[in-house]
Amino acid sequence: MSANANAAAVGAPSVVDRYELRKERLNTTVRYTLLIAMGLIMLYPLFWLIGASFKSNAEIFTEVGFWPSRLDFTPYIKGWKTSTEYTFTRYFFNSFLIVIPRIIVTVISCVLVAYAFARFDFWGKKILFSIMVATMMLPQIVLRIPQYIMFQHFDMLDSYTPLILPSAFATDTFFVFMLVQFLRGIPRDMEEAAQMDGCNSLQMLWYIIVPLLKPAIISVIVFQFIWTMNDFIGPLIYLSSVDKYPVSLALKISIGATEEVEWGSVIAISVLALLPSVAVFFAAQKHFVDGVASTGLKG
Amino acid sequence: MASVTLNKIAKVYPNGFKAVHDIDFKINDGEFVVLVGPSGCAKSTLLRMVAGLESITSGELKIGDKVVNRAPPKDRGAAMVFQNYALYPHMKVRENLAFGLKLQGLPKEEVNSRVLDAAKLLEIETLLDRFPRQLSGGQSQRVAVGRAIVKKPQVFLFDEPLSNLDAKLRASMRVRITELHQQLKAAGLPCTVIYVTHDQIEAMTMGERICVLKEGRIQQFDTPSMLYNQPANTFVASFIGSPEMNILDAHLSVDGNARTVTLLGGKSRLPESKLSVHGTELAIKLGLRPENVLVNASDEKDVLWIDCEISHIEYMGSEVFAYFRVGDSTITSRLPASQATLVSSLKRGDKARIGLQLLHSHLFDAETGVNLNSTH
Repeated sequence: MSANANAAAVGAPSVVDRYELRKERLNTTVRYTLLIAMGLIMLYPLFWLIGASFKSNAEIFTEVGFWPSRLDFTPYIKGWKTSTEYTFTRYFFNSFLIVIPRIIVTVISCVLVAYAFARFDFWGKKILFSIMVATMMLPQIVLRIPQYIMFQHFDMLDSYTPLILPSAFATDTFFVFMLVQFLRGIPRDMEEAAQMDGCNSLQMLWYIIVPLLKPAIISVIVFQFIWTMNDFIGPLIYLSSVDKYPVSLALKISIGATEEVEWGSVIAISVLALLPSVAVFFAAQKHFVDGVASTGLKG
Repeated sequence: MASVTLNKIAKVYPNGFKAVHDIDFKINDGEFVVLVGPSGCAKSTLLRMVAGLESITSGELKIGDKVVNRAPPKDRGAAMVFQNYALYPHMKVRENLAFGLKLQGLPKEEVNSRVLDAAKLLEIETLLDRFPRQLSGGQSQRVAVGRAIVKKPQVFLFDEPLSNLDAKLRASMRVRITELHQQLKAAGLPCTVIYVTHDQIEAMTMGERICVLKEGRIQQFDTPSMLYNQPANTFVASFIGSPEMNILDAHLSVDGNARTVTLLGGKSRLPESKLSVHGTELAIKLGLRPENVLVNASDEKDVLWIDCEISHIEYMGSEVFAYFRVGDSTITSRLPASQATLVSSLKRGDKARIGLQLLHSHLFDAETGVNLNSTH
């Protein structure tokens, strides 16, 4: 008797379970279908870009689909050669000459400033922090003219210095703000332990804080890489000799230089210009996740 | 190896809040002292002031013979074990232990041998190549202690190091730390320990002397047995001991050497003892440990018998805590398990008779709470 009752008791929830399971599976299916559809819509321009890079001018403007009729790499080869005396090898090299130093000075200056704001008490700290945050609201374009005049006086035009130097003074306030917020979330125990161990402020920064800030620093690197790589206005204003052009400017001249624009080539180089940013993003993605998982603050 | 002397140490926060009020005490070389008190009593603040993590507003702090009020933490010869262990998450256990030594610029062999010695002492040799996130709570705790030991400090500072462990582990770590202190002493390396806790059991079992704090003031600084047997005031009396001491409103009449106490409607003569009282009639608080409350026992000298109702009973295994109601007051009795039968048949609201062994009572001033026994 009791055995039967038990069996019924065990059997009853299994029906409910099966119902719940089916509901959950349906839910998952709907959710993923929607997400995939949204993802595809967002990625469509990118797919189109890649497809179009294999097409001829005529095909680009007549065909609706993004699938090219043939896999032809001539646009890539043509585009790479450019109509100028330099190939894109030079322009990519130029881009890195701007991006890499700029990232280095950004990270150093922003970490130092964020450390000061997050961990030290000094006179006028609150006001200075507000002013810094306020400059985030300032559109970049407002700074262009005074900065241009300044660099003209410094005789630094047509060089990479105007593109790199401002970042050495932590003017990328968004990064400072981001690092300060991240630092505020790190408990001070470890710094106090380091203080007991005999660290001075700079040793503490180097041995304790920088390793803990790694995930945030990596996001600074990724953002700065992508933004600098894509920056067009900056190089356009400050650089005048073609041999110093970065990719963004070189792409523009490849549109305007000839009578008839070879859209296939322009698009092919655009695809290549995207690659470094995409690569950096995917390389760093693992560290984002790693960083979050290994903050190591478990009791 | 150093004494720690606090001379009128005070701490006032920028917002004007005075957290520590002129604390005075001396901790002898090699002594194990526990600072204990409820949360907010400034025990951690005091410890952090000794460590150098918190500034000292006024007074003088000496470690050994040196005044270290403004010395940076590393120059004070103190090592600290933090409540959350504060291990560096990006360094392996070995590097965690060696970090402070490397900063001191010690040669590599010296660093390695000290790390190994400490690891052996704490049985964490197998963990040396792990990251802190791969350690359990108890293991992290031992690494944190190890990080302090390798520095061979003059003073060890512990800031509630066991509060994040489960009860069983806490009990065993308690013994470990005490043993470690003895071991170092036996090895000729006595170290002074200041240990902060809010747990009176930890304080009683570990401390050679205990400093009971309340709201930034010392209530009593004495050995565990003195704290238990001669509490300076009602706060210490109820803070030390579990279950809490019964503290009852009473009335004392003094007539020459004869003293009569009236409480809970009963009246009894008190055994003779030295009391520092003025006047002949006064309101007092009478403190009685739960073990001095008898239940349904035979008549005994100097026992005041009172009729009451039982409120509830807690079985602890080796002993039983019984709670009785008399009017508005609750009286706790602690009985050995052998006497459990006396109360086990009783239900809430049943009548019972309890005996207060006034011979063991503590008399406190009703207003100030100060112990009236003349030794204080």
